[in-house]
Amino acid sequence: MAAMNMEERMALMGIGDLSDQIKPSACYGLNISAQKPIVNLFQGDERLVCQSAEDEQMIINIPFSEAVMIHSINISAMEGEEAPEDVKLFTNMPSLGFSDCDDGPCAAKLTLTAEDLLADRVCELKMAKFNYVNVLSIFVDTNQGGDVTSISSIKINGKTRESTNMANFKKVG
Amino acid sequence: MPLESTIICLDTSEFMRNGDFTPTRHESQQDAANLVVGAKMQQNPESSVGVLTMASTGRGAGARVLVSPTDDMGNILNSLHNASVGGQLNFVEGVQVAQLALKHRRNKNGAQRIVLFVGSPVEAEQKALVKVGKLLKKNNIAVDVVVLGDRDGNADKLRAFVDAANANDNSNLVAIPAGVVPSDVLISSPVIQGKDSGGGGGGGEASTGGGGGGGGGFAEFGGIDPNLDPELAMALRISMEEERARQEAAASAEGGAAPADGAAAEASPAASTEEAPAASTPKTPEAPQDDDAMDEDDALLQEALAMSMKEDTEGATVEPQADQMEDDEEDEEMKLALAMSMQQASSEAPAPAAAAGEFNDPAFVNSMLAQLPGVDPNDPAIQAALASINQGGEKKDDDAPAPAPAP
Repeated sequence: MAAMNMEERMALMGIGDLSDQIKPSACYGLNISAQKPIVNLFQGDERLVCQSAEDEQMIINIPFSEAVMIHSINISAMEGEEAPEDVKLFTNMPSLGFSDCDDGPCAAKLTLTAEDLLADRVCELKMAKFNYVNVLSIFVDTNQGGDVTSISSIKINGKTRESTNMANFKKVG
Repeated sequence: MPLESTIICLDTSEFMRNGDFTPTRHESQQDAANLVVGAKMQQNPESSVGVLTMASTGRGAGARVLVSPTDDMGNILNSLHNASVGGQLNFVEGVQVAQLALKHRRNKNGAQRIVLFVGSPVEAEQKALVKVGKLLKKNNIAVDVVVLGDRDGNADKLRAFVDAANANDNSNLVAIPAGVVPSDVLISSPVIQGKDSGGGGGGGEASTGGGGGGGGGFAEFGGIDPNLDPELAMALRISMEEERARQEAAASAEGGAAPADGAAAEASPAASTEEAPAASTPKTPEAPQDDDAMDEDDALLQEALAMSMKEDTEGATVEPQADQMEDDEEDEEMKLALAMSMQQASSEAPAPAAAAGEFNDPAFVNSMLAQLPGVDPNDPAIQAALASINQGGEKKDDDAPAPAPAP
């Protein structure tokens, strides 16, 4: 078991990219620049970024078309001081505001390094905390020192609740 | 126009009993709020509007939400109507409560807006207002402030508040002077029109800007919603563009002609006073006009004369100048120049010849001279000139090839 790398385990668990469950135009956020909106996150071009407007903080809400389990997340950004650093993830809080982010319980707290921000890296999450997610809220608290924060893309790996296929489970060992 | 959730904050403090707006500030505010509700609801079928009062009496005095954002028009209008006057304005609290009400709106994927009516002095300090404004900006909430009367004390504070909340020109401050009907001012303001159609955006923007007209009523489409019938809207737009192009062409043609007219009108007095003596002094009236340079000059003079003759009925441009020339000699030269040009015309150009032919008619020339101010048709000098013209004309006619109609 320990010899398995993450890809193999993900394949075994039926975990894949959840982009089919995300409708970019349905995503919304706070403190997002009108010129660099959230849809840019899902264009597949790292030069098209989503940027914060006033300060470095931003909230991105991603509703899923059906309830999902989330296994891992990749937040990629161009190298530099506009890349996000401290990020909190919240589940099923569609009305999340900045005042709720500071001292509420969050599902996960990530501190992203320059390595984590590469497009092919994933941050594994505790799946138990992301068992039934309708809306994932991503709160960017701080960045690497810039006035505003820019994010190139967000990729979420997981699986839909309904599609758990028992046939995929195999005896191990 | 995009989907938008709006909270309308009414000022229901005691100041609203003031009668400087008819019938009272409060009732004119209700009327204006009514207009805003209608406009916002028409922008998008999913748009929602809520109402809160920023002053109330009794327990929990302060801001009170009458109806949270909803698309139930009847409910909104009912609560607007039931808002009663009493208590003190608490501006900052009102804005914060409005923000909370917007936070829990139903359709998250849409813009947020707070429309504030203010008719009493704002107690809060400017610093606090700016702080709240910045918070609104960070939360993507646009602000429209409508100030009813009492503007002097509030102007700076509210301007600072709107500026702090403004992002991409989405926030506006509208001041309504006392005595005006607020809804009349609002209907043409960015609060109702939106920033796109505020300037009457045409062409490509018309489909979005026109759709948000609401109370404004799709003026560029003749009052028809372009979204309901795109083909009709297209036809209307093309027709209007063609009409505009036609008008522009007509205007430019007129504009091109007008300066030419003006130039000619200006040129004609100059020609008659300056060129005429110069032209006539070296030559006698009988002298042949074979000289090319002379011909050109005369053609110009002829044109100028013909033009000024046309205008003679309205106002004489040439003759007053001639009138000023008391000197007989100059007058005589003038006549000579006139005679020369007449002959020139009758012998050369077929078209002006017809006009020149009229000048061979003594009756016509007499009547024309009689109309001119300061010219006496019985003046012997003029009589002599006329006689010579007639002789010259007849003499020329004998030689003239075809057209010149002899009187």
